[in-house]
Amino acid sequence: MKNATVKKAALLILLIMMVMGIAYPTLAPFQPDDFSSPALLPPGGKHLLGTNKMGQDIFSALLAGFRVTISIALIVSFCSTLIGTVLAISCAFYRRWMDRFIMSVTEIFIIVPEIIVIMLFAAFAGPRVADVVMVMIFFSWSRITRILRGKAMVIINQDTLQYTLLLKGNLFDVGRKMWPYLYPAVATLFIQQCGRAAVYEATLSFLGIGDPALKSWGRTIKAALDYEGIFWGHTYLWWLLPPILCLILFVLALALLTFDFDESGERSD
Amino acid sequence: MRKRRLLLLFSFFLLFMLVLGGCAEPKTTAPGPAEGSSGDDTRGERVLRLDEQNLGFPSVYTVSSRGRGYLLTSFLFDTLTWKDEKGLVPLLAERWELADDAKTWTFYLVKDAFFSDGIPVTAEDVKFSFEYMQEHPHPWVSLNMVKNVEVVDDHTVKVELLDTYAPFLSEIAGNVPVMPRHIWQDVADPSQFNTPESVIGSGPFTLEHFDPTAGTYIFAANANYFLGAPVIDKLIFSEVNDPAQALADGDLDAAQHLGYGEAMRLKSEGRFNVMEGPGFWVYRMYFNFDLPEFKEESVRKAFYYAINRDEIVEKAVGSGADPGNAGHIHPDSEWYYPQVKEYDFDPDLAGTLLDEAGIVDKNGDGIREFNGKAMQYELLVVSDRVNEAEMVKSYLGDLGVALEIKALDQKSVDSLIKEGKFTLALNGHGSFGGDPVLLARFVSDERSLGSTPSVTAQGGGQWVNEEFNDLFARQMKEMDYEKRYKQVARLQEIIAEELPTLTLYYRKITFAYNPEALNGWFFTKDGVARAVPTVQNKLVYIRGTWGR
Repeated sequence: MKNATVKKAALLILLIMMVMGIAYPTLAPFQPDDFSSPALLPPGGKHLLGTNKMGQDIFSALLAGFRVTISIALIVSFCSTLIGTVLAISCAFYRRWMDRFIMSVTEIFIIVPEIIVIMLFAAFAGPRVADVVMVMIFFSWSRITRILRGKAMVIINQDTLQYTLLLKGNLFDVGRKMWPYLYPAVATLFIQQCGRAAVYEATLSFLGIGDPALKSWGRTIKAALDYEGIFWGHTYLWWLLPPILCLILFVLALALLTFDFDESGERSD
Repeated sequence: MRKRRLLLLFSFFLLFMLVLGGCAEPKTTAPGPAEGSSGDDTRGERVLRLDEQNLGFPSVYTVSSRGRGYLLTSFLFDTLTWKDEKGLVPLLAERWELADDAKTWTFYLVKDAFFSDGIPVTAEDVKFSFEYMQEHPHPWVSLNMVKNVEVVDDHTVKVELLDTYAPFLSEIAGNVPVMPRHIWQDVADPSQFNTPESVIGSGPFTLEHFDPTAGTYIFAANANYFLGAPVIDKLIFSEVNDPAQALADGDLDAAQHLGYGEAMRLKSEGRFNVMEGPGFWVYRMYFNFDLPEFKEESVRKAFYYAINRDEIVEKAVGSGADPGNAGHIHPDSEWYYPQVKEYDFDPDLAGTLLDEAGIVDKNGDGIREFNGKAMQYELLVVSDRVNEAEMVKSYLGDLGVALEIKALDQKSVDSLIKEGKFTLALNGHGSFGGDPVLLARFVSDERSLGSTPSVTAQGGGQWVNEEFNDLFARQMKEMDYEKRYKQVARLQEIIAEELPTLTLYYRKITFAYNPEALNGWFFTKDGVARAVPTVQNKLVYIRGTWGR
């Protein structure tokens, strides 16, 4: 019961966030890169969270962050989960050398710390969002493959799967039959991956890697910290804290959602 | 089970916050003998701690080619002449004369100057240094106008030039470090020469310690300095993330890398003395002239009209700069010519200029086409000046030119511009004041004798204007100020007319110091050495007074 409430609350938060991301062009009072307002205004009627050093509306930047950060998180998470799942099913399906090959590659990717490699490659890649997203996808599937392979190896011994194999089903058939069993784990990993991607994006932005004009939360945090007077008055209250809180809320909501799925997954086993 | 998960969850966030906080934590502590060393004996050790970037090993050829790098070596090596707040002063040469042919300079050296290994400085060392620098080109000083250096006696040296060179005293005699011949004569590859011998010079300090990874420099006073011992015993430079905070915490005695807003705040608080001066540092837009569209004068003019320089100064630099002028020369310079063509912000006129040149948006996607190619470019910028880039992107976007910002670190931006591997770039540099020799960076032919430090060089296609080249070469030989001023004014007119670069702003510099430590700081006329915008003039450490 309590579990369900938490889950509902988390879902609600995520839904609101997504709606804000989708509706941001109509919700935002200003273009996030419009620097025509006076600089460093405190929060007030026209500017809900004041303006930054360049006279840009902070509230609009925050809203833009909903779209940017969440879509980056979703894209990265979707792609890396997809790659991870396909590779895991391939392991279970082909076994032998294919399994060994995929697993050794996966091992290598697991050994190197993701964020370091992502930072390194993103720094060398172009300063475009697409490049950074590709790098994040490329280096974050290994964990998923590793976890799902174990599950797939067990699931493939189920009667229905053995039957499919007997009928000379191909990888796609096996995958489809496996899906109902694999689904809870995939969903959990997908959601976890979303949170990771959001934090990675923020970390990269914070370190100044990637598209400098991108309006993500990480960028707003960096811009706020780059402003030399951020901690003098109360500027940090409306410039630095909101993006941090949004990011935390987003990751927290995702995490709550996974913990819940995790439990139901355990029960069904 | 549930509790453990919550705990896990919580620790994850703690970790996240820790990572975030850890990155932001300013490393304000400067290493070195800070506290405890100020004993109550008669004088106590006087240590002055300043913030500075890591500029490499401070020998002549190993240090960074940026101006501040050169200044570090100037603490160790002396030159024939130097500058203070009023202008040229003697240093190793106590006096000099120019022969009637206006080509031969005779320098009379001081007799009591010694290198830090105890060997006296002689005319042989001066001759050797000039010849060594001709043989091993240095990014900071070019000696292609020097024909011959001759030793007259131990303390007299004659420098013969190929042709009259107006800025010789300040630009050349004031920049060639006199290196000890007995050490350097056997050095074949000076760029690898970083032994303790490589920092033996006659300057007011000796290098006590350099930490290449932390970028910390400890200089010790040279008590035998011929102008008198420095008023401080130790000079420590270290990399500090938040100099204003470090100054307030007492970890620094003076802070040079301050934001303008920070400096103004320190000034209003009144605890420290804050100086504000012209930064001989210009921020400008580079065009790659390999692209046909940038060879079009109308395109460059339209860009300049479209960019609101006043707003950039106000918002991107927080008013810590003066807006650029079309003639490139700083308005505070004695060579500044005010009557050049100006380009006040006028987006409509900018649009009309492009329309008239036939550069219009034919396919209606909001981006103009030049010869059928959409005007979409990458704008190269140093990552700490993205605000400027964002504003330029917006102005040019209104004009119908789409930019994509590419932010890199300073070194990469410098070298990409130097190699011509860019389309449009925003970059800033010092060496921008004093003698009009700085205009050499717009000269496109080899004849010119002048040179500018290579850190400002631009590769790829060149802007070519024959009148400019000729006139530049002529004014370099003009020894009469009035006549030379007229020529330099014409050079500024040409620049304003054709805009080989878009001068966006001139940064102001600030310096804050604790009056309890060293006093007597001043801004050098036209900048230290080759117009380095800083108070780091070694004479401060000789002439200054100690406040505690």
